[in-house]
Amino acid sequence: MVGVSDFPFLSVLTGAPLVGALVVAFLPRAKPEPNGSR
Amino acid sequence: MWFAYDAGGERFQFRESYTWIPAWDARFTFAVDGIALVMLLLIAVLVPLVILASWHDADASKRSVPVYFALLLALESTMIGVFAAADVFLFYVFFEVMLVPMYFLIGSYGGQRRQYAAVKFFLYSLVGGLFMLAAVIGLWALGGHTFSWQELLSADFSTGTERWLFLGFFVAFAIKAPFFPFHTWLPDAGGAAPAGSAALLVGVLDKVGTFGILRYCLPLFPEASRWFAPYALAIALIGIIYAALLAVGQNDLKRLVSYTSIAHFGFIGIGIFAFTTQAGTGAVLYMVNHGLATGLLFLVVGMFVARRGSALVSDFGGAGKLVPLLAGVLFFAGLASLALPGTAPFVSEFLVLLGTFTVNKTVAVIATAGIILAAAYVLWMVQRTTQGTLNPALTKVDAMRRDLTLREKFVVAPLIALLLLLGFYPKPVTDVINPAVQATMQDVDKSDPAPAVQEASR
Repeated sequence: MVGVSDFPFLSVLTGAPLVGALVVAFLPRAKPEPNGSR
Repeated sequence: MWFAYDAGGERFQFRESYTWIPAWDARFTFAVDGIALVMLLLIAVLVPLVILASWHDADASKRSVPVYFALLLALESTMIGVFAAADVFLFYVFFEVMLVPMYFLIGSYGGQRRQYAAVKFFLYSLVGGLFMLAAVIGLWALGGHTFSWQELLSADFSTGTERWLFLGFFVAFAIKAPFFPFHTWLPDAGGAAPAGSAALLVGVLDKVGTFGILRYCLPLFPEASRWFAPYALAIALIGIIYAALLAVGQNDLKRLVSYTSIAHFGFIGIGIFAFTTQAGTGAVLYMVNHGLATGLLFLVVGMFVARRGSALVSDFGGAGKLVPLLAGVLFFAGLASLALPGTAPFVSEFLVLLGTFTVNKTVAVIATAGIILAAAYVLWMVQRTTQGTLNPALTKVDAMRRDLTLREKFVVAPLIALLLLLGFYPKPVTDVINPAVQATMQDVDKSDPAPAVQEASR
């Protein structure tokens, strides 16, 4: 198993969805209107 | 990556390696061979389609919609990690972490008996993981105090040690796949999970089991693999017939599809342990094609269930009269699942049976019975759901009058196109798989019997 890749394809491929998951989970969302209607 | 990968080049490409835990010689090493690459491609195709198909799945659960999609993305990340890992310890970590998002997807967003199914899924996988942990520790202790896959490849174990280590890995992978008799968690998990999650569970996550056998069991423990092969073939054969018979008797659509998958995993198992390049290539191709076909089947079944509010076959009947397009897609997905010629699974099933027949005619002949049973359970399911007299109860459900929406068409169209394309022209995928399978066969010190072309010309 020789030959290190110039670009970290697999790290990016593995990490990108995780970053996406964190963004989706913690992205601030618009709060419902005070009267309760969305 | 697909285009940058050199199929005729080095066995492992896109290699990265970073120091992680020096005391254990555990490194953060990523690399892919042809087998891992096609699995990454399957993830790249399936996950976006599953996200699109699941757009409204979480709405009904009254739980957080963003968390649902975050869990799907986290699951994607761990699935990529498990296929990309080239360090045994890193693989083990991803193998275990992968359970967490799926546990919450089933337990929080699933249907009836979701918590029972989630706990059962978690416990089964955890027990398998414990077997593997024991084997991983043994591998490190006896294999030269390293977790490097490449270095462990040249480790020399005594026969007894090798067989025990093989068994530790194999049990974990047999539960994950799942093979008979470790399969009972899958119908529960597949039946309770949201359709999109179930498609990923059966389409990709379970392939970690068969991938693990190819990547870890065969190359690291070649003598034990050869010794265990007859037993593995036996449980694969039992799985094909037993799961197919259970599928025939199922009244729950999602459980039925889960049972069909257990039968299909039997074919993959046969392909792996037949130890021929043809059967091995067929098995890996089957992993891809099964992901596409069963993924489509689960997603379409999910569309039916979302409309009807029930997964029971007996709650449908004549649905094709109300939703002809959707019924047509279910029919196509069913035909692909039973490996009809012209669809991708046919090529892989044919390769598995052909490759097995050259070395073990009995196994190939018995496995062929699974094809007949597959036709029975698929056609009977399609017939009872979409054909025949229209169930009057269906006409009272407004959602059942809504055929495929534009979003749903975008979900099913790529899968149908790929199933047809790979059914007629699988070469781009087999060219990538073949060198990796040949290398695995060399690892296990097995060579193909005389080429079929020469046999035919005599």
